[in-house]
Amino acid sequence: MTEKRKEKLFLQGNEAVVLGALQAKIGLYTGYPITPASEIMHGIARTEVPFFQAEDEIAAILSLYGASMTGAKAMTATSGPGFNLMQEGIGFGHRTEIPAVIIDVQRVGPGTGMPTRASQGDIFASCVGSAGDFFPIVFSPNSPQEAYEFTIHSFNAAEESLSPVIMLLDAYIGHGYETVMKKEIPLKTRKQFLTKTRHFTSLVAEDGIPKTTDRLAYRRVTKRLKEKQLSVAKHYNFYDYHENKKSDTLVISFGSLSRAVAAFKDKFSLFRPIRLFPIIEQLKTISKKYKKIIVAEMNEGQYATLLESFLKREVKRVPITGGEIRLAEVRKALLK
Amino acid sequence: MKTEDYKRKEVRIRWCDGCGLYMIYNAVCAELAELNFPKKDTYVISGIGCAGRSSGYFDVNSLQALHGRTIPVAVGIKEVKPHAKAIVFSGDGDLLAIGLNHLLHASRRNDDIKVFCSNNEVYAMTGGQRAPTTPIKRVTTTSPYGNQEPMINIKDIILSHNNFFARSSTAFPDHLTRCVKEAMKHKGFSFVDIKSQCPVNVGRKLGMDVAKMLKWYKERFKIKENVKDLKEDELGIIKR
Ligand SMILES: Cc1ncc(C[n+]2csc(CCOP(=O)(O)OP(=O)(O)O)c2C)c(N)n1
Repeated sequence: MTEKRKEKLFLQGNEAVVLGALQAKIGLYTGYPITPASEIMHGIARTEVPFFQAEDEIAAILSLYGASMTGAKAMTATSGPGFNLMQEGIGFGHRTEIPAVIIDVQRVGPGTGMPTRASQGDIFASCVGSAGDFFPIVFSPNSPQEAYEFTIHSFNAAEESLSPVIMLLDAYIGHGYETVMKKEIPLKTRKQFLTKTRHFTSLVAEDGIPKTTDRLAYRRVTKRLKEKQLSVAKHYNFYDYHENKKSDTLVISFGSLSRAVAAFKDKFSLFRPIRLFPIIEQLKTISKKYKKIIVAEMNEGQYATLLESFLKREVKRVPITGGEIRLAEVRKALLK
Repeated sequence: MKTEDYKRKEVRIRWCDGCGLYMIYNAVCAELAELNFPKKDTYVISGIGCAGRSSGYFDVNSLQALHGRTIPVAVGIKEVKPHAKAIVFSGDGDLLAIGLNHLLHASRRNDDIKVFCSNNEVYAMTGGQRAPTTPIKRVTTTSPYGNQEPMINIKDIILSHNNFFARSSTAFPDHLTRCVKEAMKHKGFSFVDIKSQCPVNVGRKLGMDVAKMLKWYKERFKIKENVKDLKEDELGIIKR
């Protein structure tokens, strides 16, 4: 085999995540079986990477922080029901400032829903599911290639921001096979994490000293965390914008649905955020050019709701739900 | 190193006067000093509650987890740093109610984690509610007419996996020190159930101050040596 051919692989999205994690130098993988994410765990289990099959998803996410507090890079993957259980760990990670990567291969929920079918129903859960204020970085790739690359970006963003970074896939991308080209992406590593003894706590604290009744300390800490997340996010300003001069409508879509929406680039201008949160700042200026904004997503309008408050204007919702994408239905919904 | 070297100086300890947690904390620090264990390889993980504050008082690497989630954190540490000492120091509610699933599976897997359970037989931090460790007939804020639920038998759970189990009490400091030492020495999962006085949320309700509580504990608990099993109010070490 020539070197070139070795770099080109045929993988499903979940396998691509494993490839990315290995390239990012993952130190611990933890998880609990769930469709459609399990192949990530199967893939890791066949490598030398330390692997913990946890008793539940709460243990899975909390054990990431144990590994990560020692300096190791750690990742878990799950789907809706497990993502629900992980929620307490997400806010916790933001407040203790310990990096981790969480992959949610979305399926149709809530509850057990449609376990093998794709959805984008965890948009709210990825950014407001944990109690209190926190400012997550969330990616939504739309192919196995991007699943591979954004696994590495997720690790990098986690290392830079010292926070749990979320990557949303869905059953289409997780299970779908495509060509994946290996790529060099510089790795980021946190600095000076455990040089001396350190106390991590999710209590409101400064320098490890709890300040649980000090409102000004709370505000200082929250402001610092918010600014940190926003400034790190700027290094991951990933989006696609396809301008169609003939159209006064901007269609926003992401993840697997954006692949179907791409078929309508002759009719509309298209915007695809790969970083869902913090919402891409450029969208404010881009959106001003359009009379109409449509948000197509595989839920009842979760991203649309958040975009409305971000853009301070109304957007049209195009929900493509029920776990399947049919081009004819997408066309009808967009042109309606 | 000295006991004091393992104590964090820059924080004020917030436990009530007369609380048994001081003694458990001292015993663990003393044993770390005795072992001369390098600070950088020592991890203390606590959960939420009065006992949950403990990790912030150690001058080692430490983390205060969420309620009940100490053990998964310790597992994560051991996965990537097998030579590290992972110490879990938490309350009975934290470990045996909300955290029981994690404890059970860590015991089943025989993870090399040292668990010190401060057992005051209630949820103290939140106001003295009934816990899975509350004895029958005990009056608490959620069992005002006396508790009718049997208490959890954590000893048999741990022993069913042939792991190290010890029961001690803050009323018997020498015994406590010995149990901490043996648990630290043990290779594999070890659990020390430490009956500890809470003068505020238990004592006050029962009309006892610290001195009375300790006297009551001294009468109530009996130390047993070289035994294969322990009855409810017996203290001792079981290694299988
Ligand atoms: C998920 C969650 N539920 C409830 C609480 C409230 N809470 C704080 S401390 C505590 C009880 C702790 O009891 P125990 O572990 O026995 O420790 P103690 O305070 O007695 O030392 C509870 C229920 C919480 N912090 N988190």
